[in-house]
Amino acid sequence: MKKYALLLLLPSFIFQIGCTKEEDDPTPTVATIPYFTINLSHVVSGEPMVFNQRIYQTPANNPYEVRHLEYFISDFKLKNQTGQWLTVQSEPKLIDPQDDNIGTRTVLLNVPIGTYQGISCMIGIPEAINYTGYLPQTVDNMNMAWPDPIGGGYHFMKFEGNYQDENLEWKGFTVHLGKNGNQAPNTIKDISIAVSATSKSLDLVMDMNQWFDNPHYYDFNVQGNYTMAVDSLMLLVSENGRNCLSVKQ
Amino acid sequence: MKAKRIYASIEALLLVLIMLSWVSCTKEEDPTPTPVTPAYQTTPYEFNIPDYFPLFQVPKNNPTTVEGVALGKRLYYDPMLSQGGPLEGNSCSSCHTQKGSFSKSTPYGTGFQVMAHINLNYTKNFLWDGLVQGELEDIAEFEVAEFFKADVSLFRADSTYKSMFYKAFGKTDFDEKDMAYAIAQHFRSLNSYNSKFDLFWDGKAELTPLEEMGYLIFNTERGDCFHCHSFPLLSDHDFHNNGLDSTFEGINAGRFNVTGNVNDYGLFKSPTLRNVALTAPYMHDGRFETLEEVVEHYNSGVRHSPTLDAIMLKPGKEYGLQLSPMEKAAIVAFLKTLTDTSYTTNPEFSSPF
Repeated sequence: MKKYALLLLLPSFIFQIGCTKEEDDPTPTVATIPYFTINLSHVVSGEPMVFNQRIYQTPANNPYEVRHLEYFISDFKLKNQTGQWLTVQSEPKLIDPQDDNIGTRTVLLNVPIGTYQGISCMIGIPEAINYTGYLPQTVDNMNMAWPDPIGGGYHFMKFEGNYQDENLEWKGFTVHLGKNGNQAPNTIKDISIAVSATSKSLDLVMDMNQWFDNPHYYDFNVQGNYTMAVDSLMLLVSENGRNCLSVKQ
Repeated sequence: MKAKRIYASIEALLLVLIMLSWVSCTKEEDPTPTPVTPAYQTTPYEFNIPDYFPLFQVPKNNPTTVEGVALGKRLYYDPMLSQGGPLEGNSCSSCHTQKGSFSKSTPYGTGFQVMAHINLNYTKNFLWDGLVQGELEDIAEFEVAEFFKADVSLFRADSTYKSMFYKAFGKTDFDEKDMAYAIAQHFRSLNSYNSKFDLFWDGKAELTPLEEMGYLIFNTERGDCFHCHSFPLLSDHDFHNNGLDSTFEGINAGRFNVTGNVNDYGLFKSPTLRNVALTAPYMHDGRFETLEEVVEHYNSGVRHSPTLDAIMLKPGKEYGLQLSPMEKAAIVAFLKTLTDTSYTTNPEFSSPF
């Protein structure tokens, strides 16, 4: 009789297991927000960057204008209160302030809620995935391809414009970066970044003049106006670019 | 005996309960199929785009169908499109001939060259100066309404079109937009990817040493062609001043004529180089008769102006690439590998009349 009493309980047990969610996962879950947006803006020595205006000067006093800017941003990490850097889920994202379809923002996924004291990212694409065909094959991504005969992968940045040379003539410049070793990682520390249901974005600012200074003073009239595939120049520029980002105050 | 009956009852009850628990956990499925009788039935058009091409995106408001493409092709070839308008007697195909990769040679000095219709779905900029921007539906609407000034009533009165519009869009009271959407579907079907270079890219053919030399010059800083003519479409679809002129008047002002922005003087859309050997003469105004002349322009003929593309100003090459005769011949040889004759002879794209 006892046996049948137990059997009587069996269906309700099956019913219970079959119809309820698993709620007894012993692993503590970290509360996250699904999307955390990084907004990029661009300045030249602190002033908002305007395209096609001959109003800027490099630290080497080269007057210049910006006509085109595109770059990939990737590899985001956040520094938590214990000093650990947490890799955040994100894919390389093309940034283009002149094309609304590409835009100036990237989205980090499933970011743990908390307060962080630093953020790092990269202008460019991490070495392990910088090969032709890695990124989704959109026309925009493919237009950033770095041709296979010179190494493959992608341009990390196309920064183009005109500058006034020592003879006061206006000439074009192309600061193109690509090839592994020329990524520009940026680390911003000693700040406070809140990630919560009510704090879901962060504004980063790129100062274009940082590409021309610190640690290397870059003068178009000396170093040259064309960096593409010139390893020594791409290295100089990429090392300068390690300080190009800051958090917008 | 009594106990046995009790046990049997309990067993029966158990069975019922188990069945109930199973039933309660399954989705409710309506056993009665809902009959759907569409007013018309279209067949999705299948694209066979190679995997090395960019993602092929089709707007949700104009899915490509076999019926829509057939209708669009008929409109493309039909001179009724211009009947009663300033271009009477012409159809799209009057200027976009298949044997010329849906382009047509026009003499220098008579205006813009006809741009080839090839792999159009990947661009947002149309015509040499970008007069129209957007989707294929936008350029098709421009062609129907503004360029040809088509009289829709002529098509509504035509029983063949009535039938074809019904099959494609489920209506017979179509308008200019419907006509444009059908033409856009035809545009979207015009894809070329069977050149010798494609076979090489796919590992199915070898380039000759001269062609391979040209490929390498094209894709390195030696020629630096790749920035504006990037693979696999052989165009970045953007606007550039490639040094044709140092002053700009008439159509030579290029994108400036659309934007009024002085920074756009002399900028033109990079045309695709696919089938370039079939689309002479070259440049927006047809000033170069041959590919050799084109290469010579980049080699020694670049003219400076404030809007000259920065790519053209690499130190040491400000006035041209300074290529050897063999290097120039190699580039031309490579450009000829981009010819896809299966595209220019494919009956699927030919006139239905």
